[in-house]
Amino acid sequence: MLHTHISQDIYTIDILYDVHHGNSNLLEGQLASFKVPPHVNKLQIDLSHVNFIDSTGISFLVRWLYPLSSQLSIEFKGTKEPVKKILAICKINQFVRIR
Amino acid sequence: MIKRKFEMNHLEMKTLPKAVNSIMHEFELFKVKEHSDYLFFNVKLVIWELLANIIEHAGEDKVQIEVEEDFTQVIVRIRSFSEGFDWEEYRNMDCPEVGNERGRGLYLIQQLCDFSYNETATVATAIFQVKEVGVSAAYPY
Repeated sequence: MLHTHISQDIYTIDILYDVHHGNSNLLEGQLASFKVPPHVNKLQIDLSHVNFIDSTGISFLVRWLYPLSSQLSIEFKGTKEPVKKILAICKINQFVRIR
Repeated sequence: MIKRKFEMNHLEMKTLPKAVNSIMHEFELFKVKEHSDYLFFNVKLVIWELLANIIEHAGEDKVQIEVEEDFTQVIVRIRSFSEGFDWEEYRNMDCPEVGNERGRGLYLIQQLCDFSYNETATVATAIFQVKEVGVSAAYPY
């Protein structure tokens, strides 16, 4: 469900499926051992494969990213317009840059 | 206005995606090419959140669904067979604080459509405005 890669100080995580109640536990499991390498300043999350997200998916993103937002610059890229709108409604854009 | 009414039984969270997709296939509007991604997404998400609430919080696995549509609006009514709940505290709620992990479902629903429950919160009504240019020419109602 995830693909990760590092380039210089940017750590990129590609989420390859929709993010909702049915799979957010799987995503959490895959991210359980996730640690940001010390030289990384930016976390970029590629949402170009995410066509749908529900409130459970939003909660997962908050639970994962909000604590990291004080240490890193976080950005969503490739966000589909309806998903972008939902993220903004839930004020995720207060701690994540959404592109 | 096109109207359809049907029941869904044996609902559970693991089959929620399939159940929601089957409901979305009931809409004539979404068989027409020119529909906004926003409208499809919003209708799908509201139905999803309502069914998830019924399954998880009401512990119910059966619902009655009515869908109505024409080229100006889409109306979805979902009736659960549970006892209902007092939804007044959730009506017009503010967005949960960013640090809060939970509580976004009913908030999102109310942001995406004209939403109401009946007195016992056993019937949810969601009304979406269709704001497409050109849909009416192709719409087979």
